[in-house]
Amino acid sequence: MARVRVRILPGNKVVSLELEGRVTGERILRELGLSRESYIVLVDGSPLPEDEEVEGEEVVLVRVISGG
Amino acid sequence: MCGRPAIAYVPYQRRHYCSTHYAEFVESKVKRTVKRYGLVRPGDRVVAAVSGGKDSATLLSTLAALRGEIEFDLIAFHVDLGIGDYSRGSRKIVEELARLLDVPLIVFSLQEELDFTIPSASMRLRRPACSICGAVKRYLYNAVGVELDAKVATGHNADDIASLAVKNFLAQELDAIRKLGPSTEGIPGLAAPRIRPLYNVYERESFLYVIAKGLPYLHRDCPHARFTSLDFRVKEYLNRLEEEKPSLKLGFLNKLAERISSYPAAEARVEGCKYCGLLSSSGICSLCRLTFKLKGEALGARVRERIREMVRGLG
Repeated sequence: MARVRVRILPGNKVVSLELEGRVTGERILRELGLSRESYIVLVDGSPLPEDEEVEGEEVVLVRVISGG
Repeated sequence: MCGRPAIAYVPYQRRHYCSTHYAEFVESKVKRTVKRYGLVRPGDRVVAAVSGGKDSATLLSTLAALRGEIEFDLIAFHVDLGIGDYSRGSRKIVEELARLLDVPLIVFSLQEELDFTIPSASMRLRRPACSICGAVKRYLYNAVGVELDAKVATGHNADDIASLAVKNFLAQELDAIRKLGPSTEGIPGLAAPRIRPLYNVYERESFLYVIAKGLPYLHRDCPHARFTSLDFRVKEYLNRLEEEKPSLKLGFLNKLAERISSYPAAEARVEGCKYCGLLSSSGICSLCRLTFKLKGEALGARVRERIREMVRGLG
């Protein structure tokens, strides 16, 4: 069981997830009900493709769409 | 596969990209859009409207890269809206960006030039800040385009345009959809032509591009933006569909561009403002009307004169 701390920007909301098996950005987004197209995944400050495995305990999700 | 770590996966291509190749991918998308729709031609002068956010940073950088291939003049134009720290931060970033990309910059400060800011005007007129901001920026972009005899490039990305088209369709404002192609023609002396080079660039691609290139951009949202707006929710909805069917938004926009002339043109009267001579649908343009209410005089002509002085200052 992998434990991941997820920070969601903007808003700075922090969520802790416990996931079994391979943890990818896509899986984290799905778990949180967020769209892959509306967020990018940052690990250690760098973007990570959503289908790649997250190594490390903290992930930042940045919302990329803006509203009027 | 170049061997460098991937920063992004593009689902509609089923490809991973490192930062260098990702930046090239976005630049080539913009180049294709520019060439396909004839947005920029040799000898053109283009004014890029730059706010300091990710989209305008992408706009300026991709257009600057295009100068190596098409010979044209590129000028950046920034409006300092006077929205506290947000505007101070935006201005600083735009100045840095223009320096980095070696693009001449014109900054028009509402406070310095017209003695009002967006928040002060909103409070005084009891009108939403976003509606005043939109009207003022549209006027100033047009004015600088007319004074420079230039095309005005804006940073509207694929998500902005697709969501606006859907929103306008829902409201059956079909004449508004007609203005959502990759370009809008100008009217000599009244309205500058508009171009949208990021027509096929998704919002997430614009975001990843500025990161890949290490460009400065403003991370903050405007304090007046509302994330419960219909624009925002339509974007979210389209992104859910895009997830299920990659390239859906691109397909929609390409079809829209093909069929844009089949949408009805607005029937509004078009004439020169009696105070400043720029585009108006009722004899007085939005800026002259606004400044008359705020300051007791129509200031459009003064704005045009100041922009002419700023243009002369560029040399």
